[in-house]
Amino acid sequence: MKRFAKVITAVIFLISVSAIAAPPAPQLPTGACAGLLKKTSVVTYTDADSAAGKITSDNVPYAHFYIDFDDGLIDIGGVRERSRLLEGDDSEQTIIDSALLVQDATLNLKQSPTFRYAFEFDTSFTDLNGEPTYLQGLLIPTNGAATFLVSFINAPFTGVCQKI
Amino acid sequence: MICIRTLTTLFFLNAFAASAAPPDPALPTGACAGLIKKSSLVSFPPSEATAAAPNLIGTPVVSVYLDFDNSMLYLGGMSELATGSSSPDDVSKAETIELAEQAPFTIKVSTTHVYALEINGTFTYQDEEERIDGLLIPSNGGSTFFFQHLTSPYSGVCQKI
Repeated sequence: MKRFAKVITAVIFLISVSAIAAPPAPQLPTGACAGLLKKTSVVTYTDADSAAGKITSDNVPYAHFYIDFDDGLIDIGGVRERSRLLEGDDSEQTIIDSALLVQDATLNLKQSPTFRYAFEFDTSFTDLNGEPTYLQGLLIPTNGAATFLVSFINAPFTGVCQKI
Repeated sequence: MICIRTLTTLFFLNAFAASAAPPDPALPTGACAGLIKKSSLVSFPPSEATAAAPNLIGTPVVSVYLDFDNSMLYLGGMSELATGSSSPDDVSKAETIELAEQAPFTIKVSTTHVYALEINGTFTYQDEEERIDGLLIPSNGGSTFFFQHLTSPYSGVCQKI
């Protein structure tokens, strides 16, 4: 009986330690945040690749975005780098385009079941080429939930989103 | 007279040295969350990336949560994998994994870098023991920590939650 009581006590202690140690569930944010994302790929292109047209406009190295938490919407703009068009034009290694990629796309947000210190978000939209695009990422709240660190789950992009 | 001047100079230099030393950073409480990125100069041209499929071509980003009160850390990793495609748009894909949950760590004032805290921890991933040996450099009144790993090319920032 005494041993059983000890086991019960140990289990209760372990459960309570586990509960204390777990990160607190982050509160779902309200309002809106705006931020920047940058591609972190280790695949790089040489100037010769650029001249050969191997960098396409789909290779978006920067994105800026606005998340409306209250309405569950996201706007995304991108700065797209692609190969220079004219052979022998050595004034620029690549050409930069800026475009609004999507406006008022539906954003789904929930607490991540895997990364308990973060939110998981996803959004689907049709890109400028008419292709369906699905983005999935983590929003990691810091700074009293005024700053969110962003890491995409299905693409090599990271960045930050700051409450407006 | 020269002796007095020398003594005065020595005293002044000693006093200056004492006041110039960084104050010992306080051991943090609460928790911080952050992102750590690989800063290696090793990269892959598309042809090499294609040939490397289906392997990892880098582990560029790690999300981190440090619970200072309970000395537990949580890590997630976003890895880039070669797909084997030669198309520039599909040459790689990202995969996000959980690396560590409630892994223990220790933290102390660094004896070498006196403006920083040294963090050491271990966790097991895919039956292999992995180590974290890094510096946390407090700034912004102790609410922001710059992170520098000491044995691999990773650095980043951790911000109090």
